[in-house]
Amino acid sequence: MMNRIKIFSVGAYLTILAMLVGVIGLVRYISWSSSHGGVDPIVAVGFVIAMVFDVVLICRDDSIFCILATVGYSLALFSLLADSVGTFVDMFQGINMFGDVTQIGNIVFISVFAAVSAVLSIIVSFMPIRKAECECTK
Amino acid sequence: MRRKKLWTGLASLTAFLLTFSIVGTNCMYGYAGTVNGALGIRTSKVVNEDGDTADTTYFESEYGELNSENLQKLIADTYDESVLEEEEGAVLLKNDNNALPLSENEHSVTLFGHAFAQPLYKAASAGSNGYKGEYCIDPYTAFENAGFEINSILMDAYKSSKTERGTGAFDFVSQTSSILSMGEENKAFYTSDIKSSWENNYNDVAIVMFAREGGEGVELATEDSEGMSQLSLHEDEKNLLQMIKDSGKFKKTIVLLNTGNPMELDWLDEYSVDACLWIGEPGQRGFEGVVNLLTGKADPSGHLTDTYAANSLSSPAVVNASGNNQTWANIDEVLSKTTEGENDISFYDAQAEGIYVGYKYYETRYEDVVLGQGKADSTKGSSTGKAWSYADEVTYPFGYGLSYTDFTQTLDSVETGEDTVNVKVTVTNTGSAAGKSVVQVYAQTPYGDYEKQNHVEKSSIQLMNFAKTGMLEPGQSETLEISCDKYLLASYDHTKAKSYIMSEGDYYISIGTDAHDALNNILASKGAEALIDADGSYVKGNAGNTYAWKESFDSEKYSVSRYSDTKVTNLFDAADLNYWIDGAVTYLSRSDWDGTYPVEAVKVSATDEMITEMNGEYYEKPDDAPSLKDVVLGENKDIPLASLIGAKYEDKAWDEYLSQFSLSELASLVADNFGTGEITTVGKPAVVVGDGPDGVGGTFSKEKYGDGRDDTCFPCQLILASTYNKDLLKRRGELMGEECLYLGMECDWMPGGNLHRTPFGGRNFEYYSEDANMTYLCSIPEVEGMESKGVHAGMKHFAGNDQENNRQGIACFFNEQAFREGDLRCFEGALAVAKGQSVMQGFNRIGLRWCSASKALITDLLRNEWGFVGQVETDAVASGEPYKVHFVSTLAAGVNNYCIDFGGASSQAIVKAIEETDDGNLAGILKESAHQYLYTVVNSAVMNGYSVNSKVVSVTPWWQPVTTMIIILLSLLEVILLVILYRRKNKAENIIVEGV
Repeated sequence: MMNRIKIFSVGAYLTILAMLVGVIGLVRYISWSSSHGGVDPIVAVGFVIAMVFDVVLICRDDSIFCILATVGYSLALFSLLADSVGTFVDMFQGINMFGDVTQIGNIVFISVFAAVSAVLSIIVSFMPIRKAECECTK
Repeated sequence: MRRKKLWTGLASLTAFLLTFSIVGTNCMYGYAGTVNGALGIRTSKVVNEDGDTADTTYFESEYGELNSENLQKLIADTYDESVLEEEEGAVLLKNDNNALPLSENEHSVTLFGHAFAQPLYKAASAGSNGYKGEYCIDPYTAFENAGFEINSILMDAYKSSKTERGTGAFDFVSQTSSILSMGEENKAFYTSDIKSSWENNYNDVAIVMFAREGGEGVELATEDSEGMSQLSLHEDEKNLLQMIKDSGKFKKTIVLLNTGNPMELDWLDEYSVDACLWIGEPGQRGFEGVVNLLTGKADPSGHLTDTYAANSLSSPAVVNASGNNQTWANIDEVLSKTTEGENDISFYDAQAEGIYVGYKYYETRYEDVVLGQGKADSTKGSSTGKAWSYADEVTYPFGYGLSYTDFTQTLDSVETGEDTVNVKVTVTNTGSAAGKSVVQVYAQTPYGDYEKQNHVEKSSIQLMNFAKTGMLEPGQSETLEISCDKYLLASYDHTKAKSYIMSEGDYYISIGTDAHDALNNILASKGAEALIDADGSYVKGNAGNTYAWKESFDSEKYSVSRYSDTKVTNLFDAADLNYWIDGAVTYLSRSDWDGTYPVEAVKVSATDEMITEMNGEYYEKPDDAPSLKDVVLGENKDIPLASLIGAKYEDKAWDEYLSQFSLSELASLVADNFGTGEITTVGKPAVVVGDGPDGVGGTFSKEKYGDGRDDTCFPCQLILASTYNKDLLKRRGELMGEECLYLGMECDWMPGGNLHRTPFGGRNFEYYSEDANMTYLCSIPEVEGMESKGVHAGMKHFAGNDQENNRQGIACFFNEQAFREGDLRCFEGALAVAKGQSVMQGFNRIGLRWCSASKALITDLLRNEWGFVGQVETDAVASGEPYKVHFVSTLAAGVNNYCIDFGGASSQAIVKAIEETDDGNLAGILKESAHQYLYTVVNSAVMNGYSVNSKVVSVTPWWQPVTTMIIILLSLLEVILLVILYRRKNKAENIIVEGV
């Protein structure tokens, strides 16, 4: 285990960070959405898929896992925003009809976490996961 | 390796963008109607055959051809009209020593109040955004344009202040529900530097503006964060007024009230306010009118359409409404037994006030105090804790309004006929300035033994009609002949006759400067003494301005609808809480004010029967329902919708036309998305609608007309009503209809027709009055004006949506007299008299049933009794609350369209229900619904350009192929990147193997 950690590069740590951020986002989403319109399975599954692939990526660095993790976080992010269109419309219009403007804060919070995970995932895609691989390029 | 990671990174980035594109495009398709509306895209066009010479302009613009030059004329007229409405609708409440108008020497002023920096042009609600752009005249600009020198130090200080008026909505920055902030600066804001700015300058006049803001979904607070009614004067405002008074620098203090709700105003003398002008919400151009009034360029002629109570909490309606709504005492049990959402089913409002809303309460109780009857002087409901006294309770009565000149009004004659009471009044300008005068005609009907025994309540005074003179020069007179509908004298007897009755006894017609003055005139004619005005001063009343006659009891004359020959009878017994729980509500009665005054909110538990009723499923397929196979569908004969132009609703041609539709095509019509889509197979064009009483909410086409500005944001509807000018009401309808012609809109959801049940209604600014007759009378010319342009005026919200908090699903209980003479009377003018062809419903329940699920409301009353032929649309179902998705029940009740059903959930649910249960009965209802809706479409300006030979052709919105192309390109790119990655990976593995 320590040997593995020793060979982790920055990319691995960013992957772990993306996972942690994603976990926070997922937990917040589940706790919030269950009493506000219900859980959208696409959002939840997006988070979960992304985190699963991040775990797999740590264990076995393969490009496809980076990409799939990015897809997962992106799916969670954009599905949540799509579900919340009515609320944002209300906010901009200053009315309370299509959504629930009192939940803007929660929606943005979860969205930010999903976005951060997605961006980290993209960044990680440009980086190696293991230092040993870096050594090989020298 | 680096290059491999580059490809991986690019593939990841592309995957991110691709996900965004797919989800985003899917979302856009779901909201296609809204997206198209925002982008100004029409999804259908008409293609006419060459040589087709038929005249296809069914509704013409009064400006001629729709082009850029004529649009500018229209815009200019709407701006001028806005100023005129503000001038005639603002109400001068106080004007000591002729403080107003300001002379030319009084133009160096200080404008006090944060509201000047954050004026309330319009509260949050559907409508025009015109007040947000460059074509809006803010108050500072309006004063500067009129040559005023404004204290710029204070102006700049307000503008740079972080203080903001809050409506109580959620605040993103603070992550809390915002404080209901009056938005007034505190004492510390006025530093010595600021105070010194008016020491030697800008001190001709102190003009103070206060605002109170509600909005859609935002009720004003009966108790706000400062522990007081939002309509009372708050601490910072008191400090401001005191500071001005203490400074001793200003020759005059003028207060402007920038609000759609009646503030408590018993403090005006305390702070030495010389004049007070209520200006409503002036829209994007109205501040110019406000300044014209202050300078005397215009003479104030507006009158109140609400009672200004000394205590905003004093009306009996407040006890159960608004901030005092109750939840069921057994709410946990209710929630455990219901399928509806918690917010949809928890609240109720038992309207124990009965008919006694607004002036009907205050003036009736006053008469009973004067005549010593009904224990009216009880302390119950008294704001002072002492015997109830009119002077303690009312600051300004309904109909009140001052002018810069004086008028006398003389009742010349009254002729009572079979159906009308014709009143002739001569108005003379006895003052020294030109001005307009409003004649308000009131009536009193008898409250005798029959009424007391059968619980037929009577207001001591009621508005019958009104009219406004032209501009009268000093000394000039004008005689007005005003015809009053005798039907408005009838009362609804919901216990014995179960119909409208004419009571037996003495009837009175009276004219007065306001409702209280008219009532005093009647009391004087009865020989009553100790009459007072709102100040508490004794007055004599003028019996000469009254006319009395007798009527016999008649329960027949109005027992049959005058609109349709349908027998009139009780339809809403189940909307009375006493129907479900005996004795739950004691309705306020003038026979015993003390014994019946609602001192606390009604508290009840919902029975199992009530919970079942609230669960929203009412439709049952009849045993003899035909099969779906027996319903003629899909027999396309190339008959276009245009072939029905001019056809009567009953014309058999409709049957043949409607039989062309497939089931899914019929169902597609029910899902509204600010209009409905085209159906090319039956020649139905796409339809777009607007929304808003103060503006239709569109943007003109820069491409077509060279001007991409927003439609005009007029002054609020309450200002319009306060003009008491039917010409202006009609003109508003016409001008908004003209705007709809340029915007291609078939309908606008306006006017607002709900009641100011309490002073706290968040949307009172876009309704007319606390009085149902006033609403009835105002709506008729406005609706006729818009309908004359081929644009439907869809009055909203039908019926009983009188408050903004808890509006989704609140159960409103009432007795049928109160409902028919109150909330229903509000809509009767527009829908039954003016023949408006569209109506939007409300979020509230009629009793326990959502109003869109009430067959009694939509079919029995509206269509059958009132003879309404047209479109009934729900209020927005977009947010998908459970109580709104009983689509089969609401369709069967008589609904035609589901407002803002983005995803077409209603269409899908209805088709599924019909097919799964093989319900030909429901299919027939759907077909008839299509008939009702398409009848309004074919009788609108949307059909301009269509002849029987026209083809409706779908137009694919440009964004659809663009987004599709983006998805395709990103997908291809992703595939290429993945292939590259795959090949590089294989190559790397082969190198490793060879190395080994």
